[in-house]
Amino acid sequence: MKKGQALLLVFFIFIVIGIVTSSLAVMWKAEVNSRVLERDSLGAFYIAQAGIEYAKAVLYYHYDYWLYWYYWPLYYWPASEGNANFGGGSYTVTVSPDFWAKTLVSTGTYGKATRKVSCTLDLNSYYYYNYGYYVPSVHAWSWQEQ
Amino acid sequence: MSKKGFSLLEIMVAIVVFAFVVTSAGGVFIAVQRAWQRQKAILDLIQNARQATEAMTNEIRNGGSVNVVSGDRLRFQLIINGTLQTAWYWRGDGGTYGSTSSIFRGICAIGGGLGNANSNRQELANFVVNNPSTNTIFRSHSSLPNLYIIELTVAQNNRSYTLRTQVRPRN
Repeated sequence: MKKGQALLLVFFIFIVIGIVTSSLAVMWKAEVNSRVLERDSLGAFYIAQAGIEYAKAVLYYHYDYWLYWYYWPLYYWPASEGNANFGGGSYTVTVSPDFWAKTLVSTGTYGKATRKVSCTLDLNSYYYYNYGYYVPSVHAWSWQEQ
Repeated sequence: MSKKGFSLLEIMVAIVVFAFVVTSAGGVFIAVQRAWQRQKAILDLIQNARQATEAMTNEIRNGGSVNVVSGDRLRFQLIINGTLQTAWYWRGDGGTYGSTSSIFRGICAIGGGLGNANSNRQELANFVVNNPSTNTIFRSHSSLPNLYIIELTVAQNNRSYTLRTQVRPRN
């Protein structure tokens, strides 16, 4: 072996080891980030669902409070509602102004993740008897993630 | 100096370098394996919490007459196969009602107590611990009627995971 060749071989081996090590490190970091995002994402999803449920409760509460047909539960969405901190995260809910079928959209945020879910509340199909009135049930359908 | 073979010094240097490389590689391998086991444990925890939360929220959403009996016990009514029945969720008490690290679900006839539900119980989640926030697992919303908050923490090997949501029964 000529002088210098051994040194070149050692350098080459070191470079290969360095490349492999850094690749593994990058892959590992991406994996960890992915796991963290997955964990936060699930939390965000349930916080977004909590927002939807909150909106349903608020809308229905306003019906129970006023108890007149022209204040049907899903007609009224107070401007003060819609944002809340919840369980270390937060949700934002919007309610469409349609009368018969309202669309609720809730965005939940937790850690590094954000999830958005929506559902439609049907006023036409579900009625039940309450306080002497036939009122629409707060029945959610068409749950979907956006 | 003869060019045949290697000198003692060369062999010793080679052995030291080789030992260093093998030790480092072994260390990395062990660290990766431990990290993988930790990740797997966390995934199990997440799956566990998710399944229980999903099952409970779906059932409560379709139920009614919800009553937070105590912080770790919830009772509501549910129609199962056309019959109105009482459903219970509870955390075990370490005795008759099961392990404190589990959440159970039991169904009994309408008006039935926890004892009735306990005789027909199934496990919804394990690895359950007290919530770090000190909140109870089930609680009513502070200002809105008929809205219930579920907060469930599971933990294993010093790793914990908390899921929180809230649910409004259908009617």
